[in-house]
Amino acid sequence: MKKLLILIIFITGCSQYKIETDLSSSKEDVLSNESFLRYSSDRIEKAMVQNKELSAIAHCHNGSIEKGQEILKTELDKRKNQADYWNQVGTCFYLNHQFVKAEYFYQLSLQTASKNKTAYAPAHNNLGVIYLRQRHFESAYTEFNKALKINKRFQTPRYNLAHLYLQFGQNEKGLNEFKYLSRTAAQDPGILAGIAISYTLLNDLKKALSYFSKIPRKFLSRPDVATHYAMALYQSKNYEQAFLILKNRQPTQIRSIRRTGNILLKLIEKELESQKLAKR
Amino acid sequence: MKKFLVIILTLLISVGSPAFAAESKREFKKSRRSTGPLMSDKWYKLNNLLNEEISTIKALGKLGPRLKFRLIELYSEQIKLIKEKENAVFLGSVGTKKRRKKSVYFRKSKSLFLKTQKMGLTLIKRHPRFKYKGSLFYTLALNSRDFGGDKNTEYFLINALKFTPKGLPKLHSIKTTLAEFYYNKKEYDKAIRYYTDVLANTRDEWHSKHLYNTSWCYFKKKDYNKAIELSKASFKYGNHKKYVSLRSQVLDSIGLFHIFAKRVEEGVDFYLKNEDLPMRYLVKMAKKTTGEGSFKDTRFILVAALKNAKQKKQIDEQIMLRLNEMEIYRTFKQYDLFYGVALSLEAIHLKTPLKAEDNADAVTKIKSLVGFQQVRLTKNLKMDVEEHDPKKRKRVLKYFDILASFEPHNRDQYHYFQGETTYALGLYQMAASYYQKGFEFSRKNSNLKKVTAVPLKGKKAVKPSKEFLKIEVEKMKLKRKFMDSLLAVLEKDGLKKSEQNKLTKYTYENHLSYWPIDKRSRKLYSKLFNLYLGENNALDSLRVLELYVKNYKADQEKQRSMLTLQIDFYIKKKNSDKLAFWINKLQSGYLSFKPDYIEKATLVLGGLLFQGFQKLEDAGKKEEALKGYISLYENEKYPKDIKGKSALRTSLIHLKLGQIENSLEWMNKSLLQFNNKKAFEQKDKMIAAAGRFSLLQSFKYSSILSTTLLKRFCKKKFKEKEQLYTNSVYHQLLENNLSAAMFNQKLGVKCSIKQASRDDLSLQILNFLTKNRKYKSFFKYYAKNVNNPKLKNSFTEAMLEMYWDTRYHGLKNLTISLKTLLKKDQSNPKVSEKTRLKISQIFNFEKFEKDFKNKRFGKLDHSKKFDQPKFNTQLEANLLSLKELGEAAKPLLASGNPNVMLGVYVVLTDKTNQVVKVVQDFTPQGVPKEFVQGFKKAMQGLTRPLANQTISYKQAGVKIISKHKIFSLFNTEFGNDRYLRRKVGYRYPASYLSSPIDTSGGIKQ
Repeated sequence: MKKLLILIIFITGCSQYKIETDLSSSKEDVLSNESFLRYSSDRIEKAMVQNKELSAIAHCHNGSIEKGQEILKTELDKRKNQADYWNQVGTCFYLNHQFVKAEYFYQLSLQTASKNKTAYAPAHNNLGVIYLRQRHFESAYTEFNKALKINKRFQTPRYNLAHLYLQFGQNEKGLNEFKYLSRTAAQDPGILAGIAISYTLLNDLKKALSYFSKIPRKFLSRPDVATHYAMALYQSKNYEQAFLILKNRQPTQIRSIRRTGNILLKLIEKELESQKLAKR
Repeated sequence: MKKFLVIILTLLISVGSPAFAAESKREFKKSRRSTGPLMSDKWYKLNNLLNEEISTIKALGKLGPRLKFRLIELYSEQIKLIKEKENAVFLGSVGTKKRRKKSVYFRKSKSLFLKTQKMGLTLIKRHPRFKYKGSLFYTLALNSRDFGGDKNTEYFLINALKFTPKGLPKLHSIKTTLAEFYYNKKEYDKAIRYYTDVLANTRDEWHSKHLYNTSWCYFKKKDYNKAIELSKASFKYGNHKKYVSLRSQVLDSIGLFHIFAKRVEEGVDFYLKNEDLPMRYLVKMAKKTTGEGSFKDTRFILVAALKNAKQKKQIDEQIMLRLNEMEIYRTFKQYDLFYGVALSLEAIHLKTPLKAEDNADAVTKIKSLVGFQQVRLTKNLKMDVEEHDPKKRKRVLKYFDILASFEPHNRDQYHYFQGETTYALGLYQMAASYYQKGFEFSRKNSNLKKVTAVPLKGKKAVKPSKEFLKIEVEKMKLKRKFMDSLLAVLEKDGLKKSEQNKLTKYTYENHLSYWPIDKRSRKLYSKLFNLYLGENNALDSLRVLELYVKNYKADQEKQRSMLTLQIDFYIKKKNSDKLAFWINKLQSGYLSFKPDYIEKATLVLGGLLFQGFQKLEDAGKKEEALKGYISLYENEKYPKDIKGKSALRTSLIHLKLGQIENSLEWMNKSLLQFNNKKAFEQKDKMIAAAGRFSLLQSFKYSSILSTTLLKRFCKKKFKEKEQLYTNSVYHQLLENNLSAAMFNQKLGVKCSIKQASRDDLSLQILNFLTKNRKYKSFFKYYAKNVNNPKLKNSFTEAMLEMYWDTRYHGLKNLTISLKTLLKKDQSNPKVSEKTRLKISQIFNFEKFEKDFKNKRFGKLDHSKKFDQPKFNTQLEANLLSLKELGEAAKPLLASGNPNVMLGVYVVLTDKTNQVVKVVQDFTPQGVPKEFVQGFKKAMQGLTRPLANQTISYKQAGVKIISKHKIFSLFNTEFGNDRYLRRKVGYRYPASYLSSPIDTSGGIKQ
């Protein structure tokens, strides 16, 4: 029993260090053609059947990183001249939070593509992801753009850029990118949240709340979405709902979100207190 | 006469009385104990009776002619007994050393004979009218015939005939004796004369004999028909029980009589009709006709005889006939008939084996003929008659087969003769075949080995008899002859190469088998060895060699050469098992090979085995190959080089299987086995393995192996050396092990890595630590390398970058530490001027921030009574502060450092906004409402330029952001949401929401 408890705490603890973005349908996943990142476990299982060549990376995304890596090792001789292969090796390390190694293999992926005299967008995008993690934002920006330059049809670099823009206050740009992406998957909760957050930061609260309302209820408890939604509500002075949203948000170990949520909660509570006092 | 009667009576009484019987018995016993040979009981009884009667007669004193005649008769009987005994003694002396002259043995009988004859002649002289004078002469005639050499027989018989009264039956006996006397003396006319009288008396039981004897007398007188007639009469009487049978004698002679009478057919007919088994008589006839040179009669007899025997199914008769036929046909040179007979006899023999004597007879006769024919056949060839008659050759060869049928135990000998015959005819292949057959037979039928073999447990050893050994010696001699002949065939050019080889092997093999130690065998060992090896038959070549070694220990040098060839063969064929076996044997001192040869062979072996496992590996049988390599490695007998290579291959297979730990373990083992030179030869594979470790995502092992290799080849020059060095260090960094990386970095100097490369790597480490925000490691590295002039500027640049990052993330302690270090570098000449400028900009910005950021702008007195002058002064002071701020900002804004510029704009914006807000918010107290309105309006107008200023600051900031594409901590300060962000401490978690791309090919839905 004790062991089970420790295991549960461990699993919960691990999950709190990342934002659960799992989606159960490809229709609502703008990146469904490019990445398993937002695939629910069921979707990955199904996708593995149809994408046998991607089983390794699928395993990594599905939490079986060791297994995925073992598969990749066995595929080495067969696939070592494929940029895709090294990219997937890197991504497994990325998913295992081994960013240094991930970057090494993304670079190898690019070298392989270069040897093949091709340009390989995914590795650029993924290097951008790593650089985001390493707080080399300019480099990340550069890599995302390189990816897009190689292949405009890739959604992921655009998606990543949109987030980067929002982090650095370039809300209009962020909004534009999210809107662009929404043309492919209008119901993608991530895209809806992105647009909503963009509007929130642009102080267009009506639109912001409108978009937040389109997000399925189950995603509203996601710490980032809940925090941003509460922020919009707070700005709209709908403190009570903002309070409820925040109270129902999932716990997270991501410091920036947790901190903002907590501050916001205090502000809301203060406003609610003021309202109570005013009523009296 | 009275006396005679008295004697007779006395004798009769004495014989019949018990007293006589007892005495007689004692005498009998006494005489039996006398010297000389033991005679029959009857002899003793008769002798005693004679002695007693003689004694009784002598005891009567002076005797009359009748008793004297009786005494002569008794003496005559006694001579017979004595002669019988003397004869026994004489026969007993035959073959003894003490044997004397014959007459010596018969002295007693001779003496008694002479005594008796004298008595008779004296009696006749003294009593010329003695009544029994004729009988006395007849007794003397018979004594003369039987004991006196026949000198006076005729005289006594004629007198006996003369003085015997007519009509007495005695006359028939006297005439018969006289006829026989003349018959024996070959006086046939006289004999016929007396026989004619004798034959008149048909009541004599000997009539048949007299007829027979008479027939011979006529035969001798060439009256063959009379002879046949009397002979047939004798046969006829003899068949009657009243007469003595002379059947066999008649049968013996009657054929002859018919031949001489030219009545052969009749003679044959007589035999066929009167004798159930007539063959011996017919053969006798045939022989006689042969002797007479009449083939026609002979052939008639033989054909008739055969027909009869066949009809009666008399095998023995047929055999007898056939055997004699051969002799006869040979005489008549009827070789075809002879051949037919030989075949028939063989057929009979094969069905019912001939008796030993018949068999021997057949063999002798056939041998005799075939020997003759063989000589004739080969003689022609010698006489340059090139073509021989194949029919004759076949017949000769067949005769040997027939002989072999009769003497199967000598089949080898006959095959030998067949071989010799065909060899002489130049038919070498055929000859070889016969020699081989013969040898094989001889080999399979030798009992010597069986007899001399070690006996089974519990059984006694059988000692071969001398006779047996003699036979075996002969057989061995024959075997030797076979070998000689086969070797002779091999010297001829009459065989095809394949046959020649086959025969050579056969001959040499058997030669070595039977005479392993032999002058000729000694030469054959190497020849046979070479033959086998030339045919790639290593098994047999080796066997021959081993036999040679066993039997000729002194020939080591030659044997070494042979074994070297054998080992070379194994090497050529890559037969590692055999090679391993021989190396082991050589190592144990076999044939005293030199160590350097053994070493070379061992090397080759290892190489072969190694190649074998490589083949397995190439065929995808990795597990099997792995086992093989490991067995090579673990086997102490192989040289280190092989072990090293095996370990290396083991490592590489493990690597191929993705088993990196095992791979490294075996790589290290291989390096332990190799000397430096060999290890260096293998370096490419090892370096590749290190590279593959990293490709298999294991940087730790890649680094360990790279380090090991770098250390091992530290003093060598090779193109991959720098890459090894880099991997050794950098891959430890990737594993987040800075200590190990720095430790390995030291190898750069030790292993003479170029300075430029070492510097480059140092820089890579620095960049790595910076890039990956490994600040703790950075400072550790910094502490160790701070004095490295090549790194100094890079360190400072890195710290500048880190400065902004730590500020962005609010890592105040780190920022302070960095500032302390940067402060030192600000005046460090080793740091570039440009970098030092950047440091100055940071510190200037820090000062700017310190001076203005926390300084409160827009201070206005909110007293209850509005004091215009005081307000004006305070307002002027605020505007002056803003002006002062603007002045302070100018150099920073001119620095071109986007971070600094943005930071400055943030301060400028904040402080200007602060002033604008304070001024706009100010409401004078204690003044009329209208004044307040006018005042507010005036302040709005006054602050508008300031508000516009803030907008321009913001635009400037945005412009910088846009221009430099910068994502700094100040970016968010230029948007409309800046207050919200500040209020809630907001930072958007882009890195947590970003997504990688898994494939360029798309994910199928």
